[in-house]
Amino acid sequence: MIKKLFLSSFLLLLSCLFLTTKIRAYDIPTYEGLVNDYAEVLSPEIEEQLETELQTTAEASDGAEIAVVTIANLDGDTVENVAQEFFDTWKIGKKHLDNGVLLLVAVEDRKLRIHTGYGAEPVITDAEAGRIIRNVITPEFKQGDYETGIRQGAAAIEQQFIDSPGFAPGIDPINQNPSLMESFISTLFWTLMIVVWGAVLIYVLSWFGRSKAWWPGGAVGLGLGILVGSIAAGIFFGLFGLILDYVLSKNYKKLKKAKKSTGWKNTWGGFKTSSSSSSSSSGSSFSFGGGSSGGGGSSGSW
Amino acid sequence: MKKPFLTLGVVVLVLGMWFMNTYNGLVGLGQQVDGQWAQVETQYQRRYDLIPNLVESTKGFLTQEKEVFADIAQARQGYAGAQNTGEKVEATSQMESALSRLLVIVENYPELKSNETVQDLMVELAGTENRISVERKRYNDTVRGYNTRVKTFPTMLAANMFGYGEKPYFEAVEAAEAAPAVDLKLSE
Repeated sequence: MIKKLFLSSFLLLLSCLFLTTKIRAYDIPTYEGLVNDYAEVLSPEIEEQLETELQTTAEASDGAEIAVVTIANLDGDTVENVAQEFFDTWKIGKKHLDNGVLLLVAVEDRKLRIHTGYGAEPVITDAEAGRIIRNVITPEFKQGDYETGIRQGAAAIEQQFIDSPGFAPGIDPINQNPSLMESFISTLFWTLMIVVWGAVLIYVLSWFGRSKAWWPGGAVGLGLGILVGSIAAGIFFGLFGLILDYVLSKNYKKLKKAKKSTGWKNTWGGFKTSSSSSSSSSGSSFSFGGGSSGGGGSSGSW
Repeated sequence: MKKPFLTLGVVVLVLGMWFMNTYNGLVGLGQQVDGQWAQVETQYQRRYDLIPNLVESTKGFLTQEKEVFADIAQARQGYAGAQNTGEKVEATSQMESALSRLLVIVENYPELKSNETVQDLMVELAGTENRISVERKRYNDTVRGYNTRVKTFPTMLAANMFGYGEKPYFEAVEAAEAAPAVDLKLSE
């Protein structure tokens, strides 16, 4: 009875965790590349050409990620807010460098914005972004030529990066070395962690398997989860441990009954009583590097 | 015979780990809130530094608009002399209303609007305002996360024990939120 109550309250808590959802004003779609022409103002050839050009820049080491987005309308929001939402959701720019720039055009609202990441702010100051909008993009937009305006605007943004030494693609080895070192150390650290905890886990698992009780796994999992994370992680690990221990103990009993070997080697660590694996691969496509923005840039209208 | 002790030991261990983890979590979240407020203040400083340039480049054109410049100067002084966060926020909202009035005034002077320097400064100012609102929103999001943590069960128990209370949200002052009124008398 108590056990049942315990279990059902566990499940109730778990379901509560999944009920909290986020609400946002403007729905940000998933991106297809650096150029996302949702308003359909670019011809396919131009779109592809621009995409290739911007990807070449972005794929160079430390290269700036310049994203071009056209949308039909802002859905009643301001162009600044929508640009920020796009930036925060897609995380434009390389992580730690924050060298992303977003050129956002809302065609029906006749509003546009150049939104800069934290790291791009010194390369394209707000005043410079404003000048690109005033002198390069809007004159073309006023004549209804979105293609030329967007292409020249993106080119002007790229030019800013080329003109700023240290931010041009593929240089600045000083900044690369520490990050390489850092990633090496963290790889080493995690490898060690996995080896050490793996050994501990094997030992603990074999003990669980031998003890015929089905619950200690759950208790240990709960404790471990709370230690590394939160209540939620505790519950998750707890349930995981519970199931694991249940399976292992049951298998152990089954094997004993059938007078089979219960050794580690013959039972695949206690999971096998009498096996399959899968792997998946994904196609390579562009993805943003995890940059963030503090709301820099400039807006304009035409 | 041994079982009650074992159970007790496990319970104490789990509770201890939970307290440790909760306390560390609260410290981390509190640091995040403070760090985010520092970001807001950085942007305030940016605006503060920008103002003299803006005033200098527009003053010559706007000889009749003495009042708005006096307000800006006063708010700027108020910010410099602010002793605590409350005073800073007050001076900031004063500055916001004065600056938004200046922006509206500039819109009404065509020769000023077409001046490249003034245009750049206006863009810089608009950029600063946007940065401030972004960092403020992030500050409020961080505070929300922290407050939710502090106020919900069971973290609440540990938070009370260690003296972790709620943190204040940044609330926009009415004057700063409302759209600036156009002073027709002066612009005609």
